[in-house]
Amino acid sequence: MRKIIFKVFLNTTLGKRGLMTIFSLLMLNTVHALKENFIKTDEIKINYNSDESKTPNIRDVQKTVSGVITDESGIPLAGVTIIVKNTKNGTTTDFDGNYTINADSNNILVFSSIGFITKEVSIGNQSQINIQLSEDIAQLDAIVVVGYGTQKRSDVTGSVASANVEAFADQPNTNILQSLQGSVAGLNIGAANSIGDSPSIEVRGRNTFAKDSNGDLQGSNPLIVLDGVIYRGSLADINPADIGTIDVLKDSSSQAIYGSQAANGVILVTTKKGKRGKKPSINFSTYYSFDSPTNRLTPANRDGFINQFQKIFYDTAFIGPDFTQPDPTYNEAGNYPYQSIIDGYNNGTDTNWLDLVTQNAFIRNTNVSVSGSSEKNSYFLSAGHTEQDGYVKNDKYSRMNLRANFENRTRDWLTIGMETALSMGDHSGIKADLRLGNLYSPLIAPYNEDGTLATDPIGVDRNPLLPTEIDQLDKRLNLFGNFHATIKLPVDGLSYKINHGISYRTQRDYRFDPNGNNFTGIASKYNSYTIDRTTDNLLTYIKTFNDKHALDATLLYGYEEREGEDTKANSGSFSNTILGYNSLELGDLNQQLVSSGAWDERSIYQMGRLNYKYNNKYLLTLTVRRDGFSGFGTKTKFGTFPSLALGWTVSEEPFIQKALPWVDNLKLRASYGKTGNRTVGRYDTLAKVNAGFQYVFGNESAYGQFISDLGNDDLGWETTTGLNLGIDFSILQNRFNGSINYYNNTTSDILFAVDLPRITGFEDINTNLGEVDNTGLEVSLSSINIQTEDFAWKSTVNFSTNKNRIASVLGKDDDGDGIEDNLIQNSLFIGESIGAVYDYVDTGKVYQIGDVIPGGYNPGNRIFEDLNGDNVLSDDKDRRILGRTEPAYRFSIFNELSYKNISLSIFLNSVQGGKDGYLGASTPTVSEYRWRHDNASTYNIVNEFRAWSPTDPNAPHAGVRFDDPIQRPNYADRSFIRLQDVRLSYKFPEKLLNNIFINQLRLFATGKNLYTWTNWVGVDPETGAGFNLESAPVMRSFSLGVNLTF
Amino acid sequence: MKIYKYIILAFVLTLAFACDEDLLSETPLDTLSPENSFLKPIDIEAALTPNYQLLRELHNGEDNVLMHSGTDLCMSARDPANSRLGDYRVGLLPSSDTALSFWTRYYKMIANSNVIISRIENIEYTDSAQKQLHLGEAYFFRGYAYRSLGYLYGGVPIVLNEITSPKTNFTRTSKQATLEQAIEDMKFAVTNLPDVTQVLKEGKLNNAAANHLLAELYLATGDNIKSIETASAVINNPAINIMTTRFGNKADEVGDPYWDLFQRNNQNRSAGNNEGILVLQEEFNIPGGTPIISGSDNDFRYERYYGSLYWFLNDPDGNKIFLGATSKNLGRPVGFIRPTPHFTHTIWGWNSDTGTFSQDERNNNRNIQRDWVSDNSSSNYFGQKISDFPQSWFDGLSAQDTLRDYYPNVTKISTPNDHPNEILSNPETGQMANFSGSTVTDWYLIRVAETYLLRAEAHLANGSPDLAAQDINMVRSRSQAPDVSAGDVNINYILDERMRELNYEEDRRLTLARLELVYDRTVLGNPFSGLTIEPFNNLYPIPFSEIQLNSEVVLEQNPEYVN
Repeated sequence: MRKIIFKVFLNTTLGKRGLMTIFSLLMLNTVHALKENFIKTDEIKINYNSDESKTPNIRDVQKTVSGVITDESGIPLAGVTIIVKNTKNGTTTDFDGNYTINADSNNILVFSSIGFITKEVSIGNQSQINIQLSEDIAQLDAIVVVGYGTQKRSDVTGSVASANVEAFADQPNTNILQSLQGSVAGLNIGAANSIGDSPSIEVRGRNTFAKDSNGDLQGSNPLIVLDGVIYRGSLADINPADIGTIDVLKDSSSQAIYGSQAANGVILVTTKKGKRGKKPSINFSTYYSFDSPTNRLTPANRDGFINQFQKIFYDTAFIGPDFTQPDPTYNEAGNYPYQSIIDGYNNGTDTNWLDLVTQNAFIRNTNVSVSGSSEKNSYFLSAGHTEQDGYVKNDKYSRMNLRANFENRTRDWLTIGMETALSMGDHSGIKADLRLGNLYSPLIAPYNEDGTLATDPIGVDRNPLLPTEIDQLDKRLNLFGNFHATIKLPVDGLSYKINHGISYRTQRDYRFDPNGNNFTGIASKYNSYTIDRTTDNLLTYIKTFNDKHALDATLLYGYEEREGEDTKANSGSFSNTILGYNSLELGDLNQQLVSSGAWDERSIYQMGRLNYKYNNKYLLTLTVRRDGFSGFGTKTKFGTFPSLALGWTVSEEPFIQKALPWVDNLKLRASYGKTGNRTVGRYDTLAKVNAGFQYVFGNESAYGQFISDLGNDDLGWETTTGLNLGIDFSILQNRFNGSINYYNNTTSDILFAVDLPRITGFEDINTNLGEVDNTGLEVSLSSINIQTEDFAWKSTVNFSTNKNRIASVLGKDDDGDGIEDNLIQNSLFIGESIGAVYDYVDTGKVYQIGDVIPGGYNPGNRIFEDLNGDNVLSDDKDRRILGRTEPAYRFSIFNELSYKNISLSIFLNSVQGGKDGYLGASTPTVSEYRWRHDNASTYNIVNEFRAWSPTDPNAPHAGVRFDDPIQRPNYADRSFIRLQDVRLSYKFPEKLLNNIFINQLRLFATGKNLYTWTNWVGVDPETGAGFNLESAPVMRSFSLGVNLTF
Repeated sequence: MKIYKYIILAFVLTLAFACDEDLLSETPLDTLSPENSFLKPIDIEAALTPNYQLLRELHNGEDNVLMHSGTDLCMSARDPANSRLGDYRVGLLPSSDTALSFWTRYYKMIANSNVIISRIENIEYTDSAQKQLHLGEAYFFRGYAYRSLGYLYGGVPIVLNEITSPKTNFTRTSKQATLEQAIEDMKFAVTNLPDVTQVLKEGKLNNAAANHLLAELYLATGDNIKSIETASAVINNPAINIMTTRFGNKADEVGDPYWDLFQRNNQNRSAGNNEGILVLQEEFNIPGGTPIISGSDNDFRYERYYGSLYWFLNDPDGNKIFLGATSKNLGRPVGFIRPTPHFTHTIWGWNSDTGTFSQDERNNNRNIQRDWVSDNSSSNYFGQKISDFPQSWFDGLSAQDTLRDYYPNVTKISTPNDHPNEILSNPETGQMANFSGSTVTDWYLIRVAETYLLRAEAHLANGSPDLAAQDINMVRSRSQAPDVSAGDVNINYILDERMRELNYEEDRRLTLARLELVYDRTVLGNPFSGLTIEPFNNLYPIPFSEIQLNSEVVLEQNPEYVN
């Protein structure tokens, strides 16, 4: 009966949306009322002052030592354990970080706290010992966020990497991803070159070959979990200053708890909390960064342009037959089509368009935060403001972040908390046209004689500065709230947690272009909102039996619901433009058009996890998750993802301790599991109809519809099955530690839009097929090279390599040769990587004047190899695999040197292609960039593009007088080493500050992307932009900042 | 007391783990699906619209330039020896975009028709005539597509039902079988489509259009008698005739009936035009029609693509001859495609000794503009005709000038002095805005003049050149061109006459391919493509990607093409 009532209730909207929350609140109240009666409070108090340690050693002088323990930023640390070495005598610090202990002068005091490097100090004749503990980079005892819970680093069986957030905190990174670039082995972050956007992310190689409509690979973004709930918004909205830790789940066993969405990796972002036992402190930090391009294309100036033009039209500007002697009768101006260019030629115009469309870039950032904790409450409040001007004129971005994290422990059995944040991003303003800034002829004057912008000095492409006159408002609001309550249940070790996360995002994009529609104006108003709601119910049971069997079990049931909608209203040809986009109804009736969209999707999931540890030596983790998603086909709504992991802490074995006393920690790990990739989006399984006004009859618009996509009800998730083998070690009293992981992941049922013969009337159909293997090795090593009183030198090296191989695509052998067929039209080849480059083979030569040139070819055209020797170049017979776009390996080196109060850190990052690897297309096709003869009179060329001409027969690029019949890009190696981050910081001596009630004052200067070693020709090797004229360069930044805590 | 906590715990668990899987069923909120949008007759009506759109797109003046360029009619105005089939050896390969683009559109048209033909049986019609009309339209489009595919590629796979799941085992049929399928479909269309006077909306299909295509298909399959009969059914329709007198909205201006045919808004029957049989529709600034900015899926771009870049020309002093692109001078063309010398001179009886052409109104400066008047007041030649410029100017013209900037323009590509104000940058001077270039008027797909020429072909093939001459003279006399005598009629004459009368309106390549004369005529008329075309180019190659994708059965490539 009860169940039926619930069923009925669940079927109501209210039931579906809010039942979990409402019920949980009810539950809280009830439990609250009952709690005094049955919930046992079990406070554990450590008391090291046992009787035996009070027995004094007769030979030594017994004394009382006291002091204050703080962290590196001068905040007092409560709960730090102080033990007199080799005794049981010990104490802990109080709330203000104070301690007092009785010891002998020849004793050594050991200071330890979770997450900090343990320090030992000889007492000698000191009676006041103030200690600053530094965070433990080995993090052996650090807490690792593993999803729906945390674990001690030493208990982790999977491959979970924690990012060193602190090391890059001072860098002028407006997006947290920038500080992860290269710093976590196996986590590949692309370079950011567009402000306000997120760079690309990939964990452990690409395991899907799904491509989007542009033919770009897609579906490889990892899942982001923010403060415990899946986060669908942009990481650009999260204030980097608010982020406390970032953990990356890299192997299948640790990912499996996120089931069908985890196969591309999971990034767990946890924001700062008021740490227990810390006194309230206020932190203020600010920096200013000056940015300039690391490298950019340089368009030719007037002389270069004229010279180039003559070289392109060598057959008229030079005397044949060899075209190396200029023709004195040649009339340059006569060849320019537009009066504006002829005028410019005659009056000496030399416009630097690139200078006009670019600006001085900067970032200004300020953060204030208050954090602290009392016995019952801890909190973290922050406000941040970022303002950025990009490289391209009028490219502006600003963001306001507010955060309130709060935790309350009013009752021993109840903890409630919330993490809430607000981000207001302002992307308003349309930037100038960088592509045209590179392309516009220097002979064109940008302004009319009266000083107004010359809107249309040439034919089609308008003045590159014109977009800056568009009045645009683009404001995005992101509200994030995560609310949770944890209740200790009346069974010892059992607790229940309910978590409700809400993410609400809106965008307003309004535009008015006064220059549109023949200067009568075009305007639009676009509004969209997305709301994501997640409810997780967690039951946790943590208990140790007989001191040997440690159990940690988690059960989860959750529900996620997402919905969104958008509306766009357009108008144009305004009778009166003065009201802009705020009065669209003043436009021409026929131009007042609307469009709107809406969507929703839901997931249901259950998960169980069991961690078992025997005798601190043997570790076992079992998980299973069952995921259901509305977007999957009706036959495949649910998937189950199990995993198993084993760990053996070898260093706990007595025989190892005896044989290898210098080993502090050694752990072997092995895991195997299955995860999914939800590449299928909502509605992807359904056939679709395209509808709208498609034709006219007489003077009437005609509504039309056609079936545009085939459905596929069998569509489900991609499945990745992975093995991970790992070693964690720490030796020589933690001076040297590291972790090595080997993995092998096999992804099958890849979602792929298989091309269909167009005879069907369709272009492709989404299908689950194929198999891809990723095998890789990751090595992370950290060492404390030198550690003296005043000087320390620490290094971290990350190395990763990944080999990607397509094992199967269609699984068909239609040509009957016994080997599965390649899918050539999608560039997918069995046994090769996803990024295989398959093309004609360039001999590196071009046809010269006087050569015997085959039909259809002309001087300056590239010569390709005729592989099968049939004297015809054909797609089928004369292309082969030239290499791949994936790199061979990546590495990074982080060095941190500190001398007294000065510290210097240097971070080098590198991606290396190896043989035929990391290929990128460095040369534009002529049509794409208009570097062709028929446009040469209007469009400029960049100095880096040196095209063939009779007077430059050995130029690196093909000629442009005649289009290449085969438009193949030039492939080149993108390998690079980049001096990515340098930081110099100075901490003012505490003594100086104590008098003015400042705990810490630090000044810092940073440099970003200071130098890049590469053979790549073009904009940037990492972004892969070669001669892409619209690609903004990667910026080099110098910043100055201050960080103050009081 | 203790019992409560277990009840509560049980409560939580029951709730938490009772999962309602119905929550995961999915209904799209903003996208139509085949299940909910093919239920009523009005849905079928809507499903026919995209085929009209495809028909227009296939004749939009940009995507169809290779139906003209590389034949005896046209060549590229830019780098004509290389681009736009200037060189067949590199321009027409199995991997060339052009091989796939026509194929894709025609098969989409077939698929759209098959969806209607397959689904209409489950739809309740209160008016059975409406159902037959819908079916007639669907069969027409399918027949039209097979007809075009058959001419262009030879025999192609035939699909007659809706495809709802992937299929990669299509087989080529013979050219004969492909054309016979087209005939079957077109015969159905003839009996189910209304008379040209009975169509519900302007631009809708009628049985005359179907008969016209049927006559053409009979010709292609060698059934000359049937071809003559079917063409006669069109010609004898009292509502259809060649327009021999002035008509339409510019009837009182200086002009001629041929010129009237192409003036803005004169193409439909409502303008008093009885010649148009199937007219592709345009309307400025409404959804589904020509947008203000040229270059959508929905507008004609003959002006931009086919017109010369006249407004770039410099006078003998090096100043601009024209004050810019203006409405009166054919708008704002940029010269992608230009006519061949065969078209601009040979077929009009050019006599280089006298510098004159044969009499033909279709070749007067109104219909083919060969001369311009300078309108740039800062030029010393302001007000002068270009033809009066000194010979040294003509001698000094560059290759770019003669190929792209200065060539005779067929004026039907534009609407001189009749462009919408919204696309002028200066309504007073008539200067065109940079984004203009659309041909803002309706466009003939079929008019009865062509039916006459088809019947002439049939008569000729049937051994009656005298009857052929009669039909041709029906067309010629309207333009005051002297009659052709029966003895002078041969297929080349008819093909020249089609050029004179229909030029950019017909899919020239399809006409030549139907007759297997692409090679012969291109050698005859195209000074660039003629050097590289081979007889096997009479057929287009089967797109290589289709051969790859149809993996279970080999789609044979046409002879001599290398995949």
